[in-house]
Amino acid sequence: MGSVVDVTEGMFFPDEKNVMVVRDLSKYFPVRRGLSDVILRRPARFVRAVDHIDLDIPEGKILSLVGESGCGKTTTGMTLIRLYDPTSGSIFFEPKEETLDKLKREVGNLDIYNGYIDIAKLPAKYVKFLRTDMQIIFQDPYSSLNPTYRIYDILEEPLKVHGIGESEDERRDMVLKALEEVKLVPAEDIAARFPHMLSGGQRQRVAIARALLLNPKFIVADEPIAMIDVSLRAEILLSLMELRDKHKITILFITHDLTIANNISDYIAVMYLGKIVEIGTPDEIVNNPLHPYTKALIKAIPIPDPSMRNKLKDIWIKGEVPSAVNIPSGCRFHPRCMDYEFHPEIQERCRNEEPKLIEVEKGHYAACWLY
Amino acid sequence: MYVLGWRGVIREFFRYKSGVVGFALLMFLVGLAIFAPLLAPEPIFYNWYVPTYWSQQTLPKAAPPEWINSFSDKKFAVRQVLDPINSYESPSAYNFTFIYNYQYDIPTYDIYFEIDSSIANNSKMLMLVDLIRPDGNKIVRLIDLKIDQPFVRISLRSLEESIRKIFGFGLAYESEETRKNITERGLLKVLNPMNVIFSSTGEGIVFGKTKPLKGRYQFNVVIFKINPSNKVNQIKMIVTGSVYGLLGTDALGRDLFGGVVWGSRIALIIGLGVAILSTLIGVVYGTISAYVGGWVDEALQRIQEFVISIPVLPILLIMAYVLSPTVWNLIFLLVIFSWPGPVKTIRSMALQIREQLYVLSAKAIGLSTWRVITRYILPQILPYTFALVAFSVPGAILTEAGVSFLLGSQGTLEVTWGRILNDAEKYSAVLTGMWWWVIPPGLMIALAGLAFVLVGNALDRVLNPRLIR
Repeated sequence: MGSVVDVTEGMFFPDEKNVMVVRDLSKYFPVRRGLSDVILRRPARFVRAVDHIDLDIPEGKILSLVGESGCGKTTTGMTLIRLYDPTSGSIFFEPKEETLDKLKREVGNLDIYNGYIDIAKLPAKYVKFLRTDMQIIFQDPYSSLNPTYRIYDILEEPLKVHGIGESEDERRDMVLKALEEVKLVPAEDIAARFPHMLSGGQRQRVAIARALLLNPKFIVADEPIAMIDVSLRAEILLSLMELRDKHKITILFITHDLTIANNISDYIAVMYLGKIVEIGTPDEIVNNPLHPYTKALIKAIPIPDPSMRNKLKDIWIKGEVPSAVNIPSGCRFHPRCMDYEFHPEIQERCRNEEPKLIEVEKGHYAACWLY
Repeated sequence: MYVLGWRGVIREFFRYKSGVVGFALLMFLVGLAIFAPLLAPEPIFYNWYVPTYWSQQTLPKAAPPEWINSFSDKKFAVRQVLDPINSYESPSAYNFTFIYNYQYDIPTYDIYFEIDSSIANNSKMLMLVDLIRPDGNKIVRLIDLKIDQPFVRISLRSLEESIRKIFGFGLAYESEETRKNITERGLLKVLNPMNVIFSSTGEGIVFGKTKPLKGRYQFNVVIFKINPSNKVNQIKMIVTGSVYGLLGTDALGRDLFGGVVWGSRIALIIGLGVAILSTLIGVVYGTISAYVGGWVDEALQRIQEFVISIPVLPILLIMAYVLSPTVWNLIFLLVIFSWPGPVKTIRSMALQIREQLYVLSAKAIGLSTWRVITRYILPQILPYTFALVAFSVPGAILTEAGVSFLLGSQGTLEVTWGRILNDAEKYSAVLTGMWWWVIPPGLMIALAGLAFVLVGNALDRVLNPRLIR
């Protein structure tokens, strides 16, 4: 069983203990075929939203997944917590002890690798047992709360569903405490309201409180500040960092904004068109980007210096994001890559062979034929 | 989607004119249905298809409504129940005098005598009626009849001997040729004897072509006791008139107002019952189809499309004929064919709601599919189902009317608007100008449909998320 143990030990962060180890994970969405496609026997086509990715998620840390919209980062987040069923690959996850006990009891032939289970292979009907361990905070707080429920009911529901709390009173205390924890006070007053009576920031904190109530060890935060007033963003970010520091919760922070990722995360993974192209610490990613795509992202960050305002920034990328249905051959970034232009010697390779993530510098991985 | 409270929905609803009008019409129909027993006695409902019941009601047949007298310059005789103005008892006989003051242009349909008496076993009394017209002419022994039961109701028109006498009186004024013509061709059967009694003398009296003879008609009734212990307790003369009630009567003398009023009950029960049941089924079906998705969705949609494309009426007719055609069976059959109606709409709404983040977050919390459907999706759809119910009522009422109309006596056992129309058609009411037999039930069907369409339109505007402004 030696090789299996190796897998769960991870390959990107040797100094960390990983709460989740993702190997060769894919999520394809079938493109609906018309009648003519069926008759003409055209092959089924897929949106390859997540395409054979490897990733380690270190325990008690914030890992940011950065990429432009449509690159598959949200799909990755949802697949990791089994809101989507993966097409192929493995997600090794170390559940809480009581969850593992429950799973052992319920699932007939559960393979346990050193305390980890492969949740990608877990049958759909057992997935609900994972909900106490992994939660998600959505991007849009305006539609992530049931408009017909009061805040109290929204927060009490997860407790009821999972049989947490002995009595109504106990659950009530837990709900009010959770509201206070995300600084929604007076909690009694907030609990009696409907979602439409709260501001976006308040709603997002309700969503955080709901995720926290189940006491998860892993939270996917899917662009949680994208739709919130700029003035309130810092607060949400601070409460996420507090979750990490106080509750030792692991967070996968999904964002398109490299500066925010730089500020709050311990590690950053950069994603392009369903593939992870670079992994490293924020410091290395920002100051020493290796992959041409990361370089382009960093060059695109506006510099708050008035003297620059008349200068056109040189853009280190060309064209548009290709469709995830027709992914370019070889390195999927090569049609947009500027380094490709300047390095004719590797061009053939870029066009035909897909690069793998390799450790270019210590703890800094990139998937590019330049290295 | 924003949330209106119940009060908000009601307030919004009445801001639309169609809502107010529809609600008023609906209340009118519901009022008719609820207060039917007060508006028309219950036996009308139970005995609608019992001819003996209606022959006891002494109503004129094929009579237009009473209020027609306000619009027509020819006045119709109205119903009158007369007591004798004079009664005299001798040891051998009773003498009663009835005075009927006739001031109309169209005579009564019939005249009844009701006699309540005590008769010794195997004995009988003899009744004779003489008529003295205002012009002094007499018809002697207009009625000559034996009474052998304690209670008798005598219809003048059903006594052949009397009719012969009446025409005999009238024919005396006709030309030789006409008399021959009438007797040879047996036309007497189709002529109205009442015209003869209530018209002035002259040529054409048997056709009622002479002027109406207005004034006091005296009916002298003599009842011979024969057995001295026989007694007459009460005697009444009923002039049926030639108009009746609010909506007149049909060819069998049934009070159409009663039929229309009680018909509203059946129409509403069938309409609402079918609409509510089929919408409920359709909503649950559409929601499950949308939420579960995949091949389940495919299969459910194909089944729905199959059922909705079945031509309903012919199959309904056959099935209603084979099953015993009660109202409940009809509801059952209509539901079987009408549940697919709202499915597509509901499915598309549920598909939209399914993609809402709060449904995904419910999944993330670990809610079961059933709980997500019942707690997250159905409550969002529920308000709109009220509009759907309102929209599908007219269809159900129309189909019921259609089935009842086509099946007639093979259809429902209860009186419905459709069956009244079926009867009207059977007695060619339209061809004989009996508009009061056709228009009221037809209008009620249209009104019921209109009421629910108006209410549905207003509800749709208030509750359909895509139309909310």
